Amino acid sequence: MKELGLTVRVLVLAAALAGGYAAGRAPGASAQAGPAVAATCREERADAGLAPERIADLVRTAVRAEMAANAAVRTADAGEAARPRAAQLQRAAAPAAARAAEDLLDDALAVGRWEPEDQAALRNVLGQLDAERESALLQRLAAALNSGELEIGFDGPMF
Amino acid sequence: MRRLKQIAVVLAVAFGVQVGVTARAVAGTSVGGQVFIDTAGQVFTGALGSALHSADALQFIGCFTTGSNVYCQARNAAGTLVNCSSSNPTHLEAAKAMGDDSRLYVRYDATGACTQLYVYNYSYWESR
Repeated sequence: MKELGLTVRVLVLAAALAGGYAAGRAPGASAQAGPAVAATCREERADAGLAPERIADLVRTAVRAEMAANAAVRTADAGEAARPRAAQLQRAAAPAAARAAEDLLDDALAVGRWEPEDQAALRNVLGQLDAERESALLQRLAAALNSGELEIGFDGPMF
Repeated sequence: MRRLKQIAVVLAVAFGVQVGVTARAVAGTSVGGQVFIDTAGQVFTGALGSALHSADALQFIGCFTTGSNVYCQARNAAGTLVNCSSSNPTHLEAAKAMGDDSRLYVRYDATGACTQLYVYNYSYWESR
């Protein structure tokens, strides 16, 4: 539908430019062209004549501008559509990430050690958790370390 | 004899300058910022700079913010390690105010939650 609108606008613009050209060529005529031409070709109309090459240039410029404007609208539309989709994907991924994080902590607790691999794995998965799950997991990790259920096998931050 | 006097003056001036520089480096009120942990009282405190420059290779203290949570931990010279986390916005704000000269004061509970988090930004402690 947008393409049809674009085509119509281009045709109208071309017709208006042709009209402006004809009007400019007509003796004594100076203000008969449509508003599009008047806006675009104000300088050229001063000497009351447009070369066919100049008209072609103006049409090309107008078409490019119109296409760029439509592309910008399409991009914005796509961005609007992508945002909710990304949020949906993130929501869908959150439980899986939470399970992975819980499994990671459970496995570490089973052996009683928090190793560099656990540190790296938790760091990776944390970004996929929502704030509530993240909070619960970090608190559980802290409690396990404080109580001695987990011992640390390296120096540095826990994740 | 005159030459000896000149040398003595030069040495005295150099010594004075050296003393002045040294004195300047330690001028100002300073209090200890070593990492202190009380597991019974569930509290830990310490200055980042003091922990880093401590004689032992064990001490550290600090916090990590994820955006919605803050995770703090400390280890003292005896090797005792404590941790806690919090999603309290006030704690998050406090953690974000930490700098090289900061001293942390944290209370925590048995669930691993930080219940209190203070950040002191004073010149009392050595900078990182």
